[in-house]
Amino acid sequence: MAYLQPWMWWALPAVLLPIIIHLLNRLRYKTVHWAAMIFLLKANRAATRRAKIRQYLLLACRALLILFLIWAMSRPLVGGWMGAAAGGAPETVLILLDRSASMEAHRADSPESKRAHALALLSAATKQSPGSHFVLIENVLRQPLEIADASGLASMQMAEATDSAADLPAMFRAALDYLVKNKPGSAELWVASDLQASNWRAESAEWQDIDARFGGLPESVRVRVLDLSSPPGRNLSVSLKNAEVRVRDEKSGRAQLSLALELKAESDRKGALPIYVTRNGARSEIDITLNSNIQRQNLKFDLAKGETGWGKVELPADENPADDTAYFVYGPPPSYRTIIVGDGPAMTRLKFAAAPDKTRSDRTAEVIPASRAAGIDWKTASLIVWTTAAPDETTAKTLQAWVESGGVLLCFPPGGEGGAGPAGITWGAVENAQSRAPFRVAAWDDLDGPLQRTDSGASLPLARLELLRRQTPSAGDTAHAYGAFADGRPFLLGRKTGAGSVFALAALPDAEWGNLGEGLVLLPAVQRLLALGGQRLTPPSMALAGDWKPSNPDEAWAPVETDKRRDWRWHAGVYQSSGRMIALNRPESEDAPETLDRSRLPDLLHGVNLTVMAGALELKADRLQSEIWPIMLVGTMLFMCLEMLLATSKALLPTRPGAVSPPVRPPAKSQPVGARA
Amino acid sequence: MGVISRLSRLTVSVRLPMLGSVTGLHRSATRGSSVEFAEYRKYAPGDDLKFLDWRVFARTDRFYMKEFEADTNLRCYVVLDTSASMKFTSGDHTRFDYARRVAGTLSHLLVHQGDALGLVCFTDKTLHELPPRRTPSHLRQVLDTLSEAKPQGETNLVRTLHDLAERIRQRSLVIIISDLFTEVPNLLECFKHLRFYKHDVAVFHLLDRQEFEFDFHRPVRFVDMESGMDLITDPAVVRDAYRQAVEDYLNTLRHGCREFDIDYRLTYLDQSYESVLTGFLLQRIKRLKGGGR
Repeated sequence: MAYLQPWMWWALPAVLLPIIIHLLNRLRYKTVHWAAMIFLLKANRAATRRAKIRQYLLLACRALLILFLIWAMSRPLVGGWMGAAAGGAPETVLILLDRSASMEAHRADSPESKRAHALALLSAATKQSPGSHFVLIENVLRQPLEIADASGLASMQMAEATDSAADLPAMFRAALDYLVKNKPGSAELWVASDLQASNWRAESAEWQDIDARFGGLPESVRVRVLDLSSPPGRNLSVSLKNAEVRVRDEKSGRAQLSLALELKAESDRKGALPIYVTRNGARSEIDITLNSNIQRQNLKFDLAKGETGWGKVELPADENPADDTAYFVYGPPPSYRTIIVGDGPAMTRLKFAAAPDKTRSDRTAEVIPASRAAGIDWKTASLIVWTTAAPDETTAKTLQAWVESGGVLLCFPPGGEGGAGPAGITWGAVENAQSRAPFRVAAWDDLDGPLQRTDSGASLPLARLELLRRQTPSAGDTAHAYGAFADGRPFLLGRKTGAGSVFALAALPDAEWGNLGEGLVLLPAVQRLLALGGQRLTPPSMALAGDWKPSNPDEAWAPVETDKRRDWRWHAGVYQSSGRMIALNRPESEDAPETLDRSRLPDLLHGVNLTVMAGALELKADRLQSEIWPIMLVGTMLFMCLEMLLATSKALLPTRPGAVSPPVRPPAKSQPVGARA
Repeated sequence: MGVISRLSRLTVSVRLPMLGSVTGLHRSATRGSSVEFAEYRKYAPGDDLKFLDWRVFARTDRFYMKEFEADTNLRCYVVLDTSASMKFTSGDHTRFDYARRVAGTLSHLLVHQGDALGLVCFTDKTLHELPPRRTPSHLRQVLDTLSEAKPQGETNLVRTLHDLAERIRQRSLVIIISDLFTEVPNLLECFKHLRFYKHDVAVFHLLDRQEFEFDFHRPVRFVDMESGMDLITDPAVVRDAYRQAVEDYLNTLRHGCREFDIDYRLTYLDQSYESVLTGFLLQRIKRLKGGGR
């Protein structure tokens, strides 16, 4: 509770005045020689107990009366946020502001976003702690920012809306780092969040570490969570799953832009929906039909030969304007060139795996013998497949340099007794499987790497591989086995080398080696490695807002849409620099409507003094800081009335027995003596 | 002396027949030779023929004796409480001063109307006891005793009255002047004892108005005037209970006195003792006349 006139509390000892006066009165007695002690002793016995209670109640009323008067004169401020707490303001307040895209949602009856509402509440709350030092930690940079004037929080650039995601555990860690480093005397964490489940990541093991770090702080830190979650509304979001340009006609060069969109509705919403597509500034409207809460929608646009550009897909305005737009850039598809070094029947299979569609000019493969390896055009190669023994020293150095610059090298067994291969690969001896017992791949990494699951979630059919012959590679301790045989020997090894990667596979796609050449595993693996190697030649055109950083920090990236103030650090949009463009979109996790149940917060921070303010969206900012001295005055008057009642009431005095006769009253002094007895 | 001269026009009368030794102003319990006819009774052998009513004999041929009321003098005991509690006062004079005036005035009236007067001054024991006599010299002795008496010590009214009831042989008027600060049932037992021996009992209950109203405002240390025991209390806290205790006490005492036909007079010290005594004497005369002889 804050006070406008806290110095009034210096008058607090005045509360003791009634008690002191009472004690002084008791000490200042006078002595009377009394004859009628017989009555006095009776009266004292009868009256003492209840009268003492009455006396104590009177003293309590008088003390509380003064207390409430002082309280009223100190002009207390209370509200739902700070009013819940008693005690003084903390020395330092760290404000953890979630300004992710989901915080731009607003209620149907109000245009104020959750973020703006949170800022209004926080600004009002900071006024209740005038002596506190405020530090802002927002979700993008997560750098503690000292706030000189907390009342201007809402107008700060670091509190503006973003299209990024929030990582609450990381924000808590940043706050803890600040507390450990600066060691404030007393501190509080004010967390403003919509409790989006993907932001809080309640299942993460990080919370145990955070909890332990809170427990290790020298001072107990109170955490107040401003719960801005809201029930699902009628919001609709759009995200871009893929934007791909394919050449349709090699002769004319005509191409087609394919946009794979995903539409998510918070609640059941079906029927026609207009979608606005902007390409290079030209806006068009497309009507689609919503059939389910989560719907995939493909949009295709014909492009001229070599056409490049940017665009965005927009939805009609709804409860969250931040998730209504998805940005993309497009251009001629990058050309992926594969060089296959070696000879033999397996080369055909490898060439097919690298360039399965002969009509496409953006996927080419060339088979060359090892003797011509020195003449490889290194600049244009995306993937080099090496199927022979180690190259000569000169070629090996060139190959190593190419890999380190970002190229991807895929090595196949050279056969024979093995030995050193290219780029640090070492081959074992060729092993032949016993009849009816082919080598089988027993384990593989289906989450990451060349053997990961497909986009549809299906695993590659490695279990169907039956290898009659194998030659297992090794690449040092830093290599990662993406696949392994039943006996633990590696099937596919991979190792990062500089900006590139080196992979080695234990079998050739040849019928003598087994059924690897059937292509169900080989083709997707080679295509993935080809795309990985192609990144060296074509920088990414799409990234996540908040995550992406320019490869060269000195590059100036400016938004394509000049009518809007955008910052690539946290705003989605299309940005360009030196003729290159990149589309930044909000993370897909921001579209997930699931929220964390606030009852789980104490589990996440169970060792922390936690206060969760539910229903913050309904709270008006001006209600946070209201003076309650009239209530204190009412309390004062209440105690005055109570004191008066107690002082005049006979309720607590000794009960009188029923009178058996009219009470005896002494005659007036002037009255002559009359008949009595 | 002005008060005595005004009160001399009145007599101290008794409500019951007395058994005096000489002729006096008061009705005797026996028949006598006064002029006031009492009753007829049948002649019995040995009766004095002087009182035979010959006229009745002439009319009825039967012997009837004429009897007349006898007038006798009065034996009165003034019982004066001289305990320390009688020193109490909230005004100009103490309760004991007031008691002495009442006792002295009554003594003067009684002796001057030919009645025998005795005096008993007591605390927890009898300090002074003068037997009833009717001589002027005895009156002086009584007045000297009253003037020399000093209130002190604790009271034991109950035992004093029981002793007195046992010691007085003849019917008497017993006038008790005290603050009566003792338990009412015990006190009423004493009165009952005195009334059993057919004594006429009058009680002057002397109270200070402060003792009834208990008009204190600040904490007070009350010191018992007799035992010296003290009690610190807030009068505001105990005032109502105190008043209630006093009222209960007075009501019980009044009802008890009425039951045993005690002439009880509650007297406040701020009342004029002349008016108190005037009321006392007049009411007794009025009752005597109302009862008829």
